[in-house]
Amino acid sequence: MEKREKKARKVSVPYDRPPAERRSTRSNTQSMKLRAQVEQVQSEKVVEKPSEFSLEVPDPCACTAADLILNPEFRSRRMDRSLEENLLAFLDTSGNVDPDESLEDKLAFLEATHAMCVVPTVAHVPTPKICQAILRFIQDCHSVGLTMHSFQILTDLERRHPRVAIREEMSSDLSHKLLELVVNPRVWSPVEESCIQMSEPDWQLATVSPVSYNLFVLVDTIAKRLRGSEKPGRRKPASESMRCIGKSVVVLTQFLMLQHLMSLIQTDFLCRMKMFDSSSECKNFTPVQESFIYRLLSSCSQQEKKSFLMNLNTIMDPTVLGEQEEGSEDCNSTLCCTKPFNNQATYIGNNQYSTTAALLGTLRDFAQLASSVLVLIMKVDHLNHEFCGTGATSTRRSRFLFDNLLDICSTSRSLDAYLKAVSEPNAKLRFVVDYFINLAPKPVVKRLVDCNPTEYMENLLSCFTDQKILRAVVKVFKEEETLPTLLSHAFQAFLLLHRQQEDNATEQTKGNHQERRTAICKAMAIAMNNLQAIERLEKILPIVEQALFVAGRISCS
Amino acid sequence: MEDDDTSWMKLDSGTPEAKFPHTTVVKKRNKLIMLDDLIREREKKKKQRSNLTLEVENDSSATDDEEDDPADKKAEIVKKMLKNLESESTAVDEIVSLLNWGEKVFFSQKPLANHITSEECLALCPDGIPSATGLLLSGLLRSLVISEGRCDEETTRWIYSQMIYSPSEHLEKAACQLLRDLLSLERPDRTPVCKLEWIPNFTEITEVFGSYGYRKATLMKESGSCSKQADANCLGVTTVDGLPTNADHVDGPPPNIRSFVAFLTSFFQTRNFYQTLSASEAEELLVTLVHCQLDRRMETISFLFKSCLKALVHYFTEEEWDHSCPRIAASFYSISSNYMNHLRAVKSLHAGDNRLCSLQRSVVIQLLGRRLNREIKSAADVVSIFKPIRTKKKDFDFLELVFQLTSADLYLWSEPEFERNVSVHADWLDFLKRCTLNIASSDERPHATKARNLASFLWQKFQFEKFQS
Repeated sequence: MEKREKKARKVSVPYDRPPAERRSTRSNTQSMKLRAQVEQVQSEKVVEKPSEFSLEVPDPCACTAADLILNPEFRSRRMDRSLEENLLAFLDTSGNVDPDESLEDKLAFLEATHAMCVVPTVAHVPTPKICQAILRFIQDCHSVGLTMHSFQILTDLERRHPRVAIREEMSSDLSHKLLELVVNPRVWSPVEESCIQMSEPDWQLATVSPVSYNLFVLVDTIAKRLRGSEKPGRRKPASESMRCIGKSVVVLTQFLMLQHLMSLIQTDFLCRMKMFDSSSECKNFTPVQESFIYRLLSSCSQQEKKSFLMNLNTIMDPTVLGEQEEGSEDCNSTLCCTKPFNNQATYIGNNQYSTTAALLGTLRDFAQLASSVLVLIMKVDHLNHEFCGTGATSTRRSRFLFDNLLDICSTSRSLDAYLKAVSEPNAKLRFVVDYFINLAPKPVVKRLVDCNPTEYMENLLSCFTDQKILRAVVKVFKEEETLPTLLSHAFQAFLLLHRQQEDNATEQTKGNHQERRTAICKAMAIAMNNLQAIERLEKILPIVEQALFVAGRISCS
Repeated sequence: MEDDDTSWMKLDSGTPEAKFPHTTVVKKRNKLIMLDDLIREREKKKKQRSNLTLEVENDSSATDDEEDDPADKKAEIVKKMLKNLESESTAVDEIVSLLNWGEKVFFSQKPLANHITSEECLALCPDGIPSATGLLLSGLLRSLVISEGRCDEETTRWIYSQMIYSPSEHLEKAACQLLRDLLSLERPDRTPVCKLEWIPNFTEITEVFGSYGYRKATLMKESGSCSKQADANCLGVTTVDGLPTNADHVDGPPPNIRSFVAFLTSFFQTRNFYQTLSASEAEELLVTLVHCQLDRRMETISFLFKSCLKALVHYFTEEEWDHSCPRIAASFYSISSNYMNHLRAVKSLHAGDNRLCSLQRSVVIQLLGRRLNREIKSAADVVSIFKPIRTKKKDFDFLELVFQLTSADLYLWSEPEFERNVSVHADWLDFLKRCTLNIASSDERPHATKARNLASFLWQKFQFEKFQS
């Protein structure tokens, strides 16, 4: 009896102690593990082998993210196995049932990872296990605090240890810069993992998390949620408040994961594109073919590609966004529920605050990301098509993705949404021209196919000044707003391109540029007026009105 | 004998002792009552034992309670138990709140719609011309101003007001994107593609924070953290009995804050063209941005704040930074009274940037110096804090040790001098090791194991790094 009492006294914990302290055995194990590792290092006198990326630079912290990406002269070193185990020991949950304690451990793990892999001058490259653990925190959607912290660490790690970078060196005769693509295979990337998964035939059968780091699966889940056909996820909160919080945290984490994947894919693609562009004489397409996005697209079937495009279209559907603007507040627009459902909720928001408007992960945020993905895909498709057209590669492909995009952009609203997402004026103008080439009648196609790319705008507008051709065009495009939308975006792209050309022009040629701009503006006004007249519309369309105003104002100035 | 007694009584009739016979009578009566009480107490103790409840006070009313219905008595006991539990839970809450960060930074926001500039006064929109909103949303406004190479004051103010105050997310984001583009687009000779003829100054920037309900930390301290009066002052409305007259006031900030912070990031990166802030104003903004992050509602956009802070620290020239860094560090102490908030603010400065790291170190030594009331200037000073610490004292404050260890870790881990100074490094490792060994893993004093675990991890970390390097 006495013995039992003694035992009970030993394990009892005073009330004034936080729950996280109610652990001693596990901490001891962790501590002993850590100490053993250090002693091992001491006894073996391990000499760190210089990493192949350990180059002498003044200070990597002084570089911005862009510098690090474009200049791979950052100092890093391989993470020792013992250090990896030490870090992962934080997440050792054996004998731990308290969720608060587990949350605290995870936050401590993130801080330790940040201290080892981001802060030091010569930082450790995180191992796949470390990265996967951080991603798991995001996928588990436990709390906003943990999710945001994990996302921040992932972003910092991506900046500190980019997988792909461009190294610039001066040529031996110092006449020009030489670019070299540097791929750090030690840096683990979730997109790489997705590429491997995609190449396996049964990847779709794998366990699907609501926040998968497979781009295709993630986009599919988000689209299903928006369509309202989402299957219940792994987390099944019991009460209504739990359901609301659970759902809103899932929405936030889905957004963050999509943003992270997009950032990885874009960085990778931009570096490889820079290499591709730099090879001026003999275009080497291999860097582009090795990019994440190219590999992802080439590893899936046409049906999967089609459904992927459809999912992207669902996410960026303007009608969905319009409904949101009307002001129906659901779980998407409020992040925090009125009361926390358990102790973890203290990480969701301060108890005294009722509801908080979602600052991230709104439908518009998702739409913006989806359109960025779509623009990137179309760029890859366009490059692939162009490169195949030159005969430099044997794998000739049809423009399957572009054809599908045309189907998606069949309405003027979706067309407008896509064109707004295309920020690069060249790509925007090219898309409008391709749109006409694919759908307009022959006379228009003939004018556009044979012309010089610098004269696209002139040739495009000439179709609208000729009444005969214009009638034929209007017959093809049944929706009255499609043509003005296309013309308006082409005009916007032209103005931006023209501005760039004017900035680069010499004083002598600037006059010519201004004349050309005025001429285009006048032609634009005529084209819009013709369009308005031929459609026999009683009320002038807003897009036409706006384009006429801008054209008039520029031509007058 | 009788005479003696009567004379004694007569003699002392006016004195208190003269009442003695009366008191004796009372005492006697009391004695009789006490006997009854003893019996009743015995019965009561029997009942108490059977119920296993809390102690019931032995006062005069107890006798009445005994006669009450047993159900009422039980209810009272339950009430008392609940009261005890409540007091215990508030004590635990206080400890938990001490370990958690976060405080209310944004109070009632002003009615934002009043601030939006009317588009009727724009040069863009004379009669019969499309609305500026339509131009903004279609993207034609962007092409127009870039093509013209300038954006006049009225139009810029209108776009800015849409970004800051518009309730429509679509408009807010379109305006933000346009302003950021106009700020960042550069010609090959590094001049801006489009010149903005107006840019917000310091007063206008702080006005936005004010309209979002932001209250300075010092003011909060004076007026109480979330008093209704403070809310009313922030709203700028008259009050009745300390309550704001505007019944439908809303707690700030509005979602537009995400665009505002993103805009500020771009704005701080364009010092070469638009230098509207003095060094002292930039210092104040930096402290404001750090303070805003203490509001947990800002957690989802913490990365926006981080980018903004990074841009702002690079707004200073080298000379300005040398002068401003210690000043900013000194003002960090006033942003909160909770040390966890201080630590959170310090951690928010971690962005892999030299200036942010140096600011972080300055802040840590300021905080430690103020907390310990001593001057701290170097790594040696930081390590010397821990020399006199004896953890074996019964009333040793381990929570304070945890705070100090965390702060010291933040300072020493990024301090280049620390690595070079072998003796200080050895002292630090020695303390951490001592701490690990002297505190038992089963130590039941509050926060003892937390401090032990932290010291143990830090020892491993610094020791590991030493051997690795």
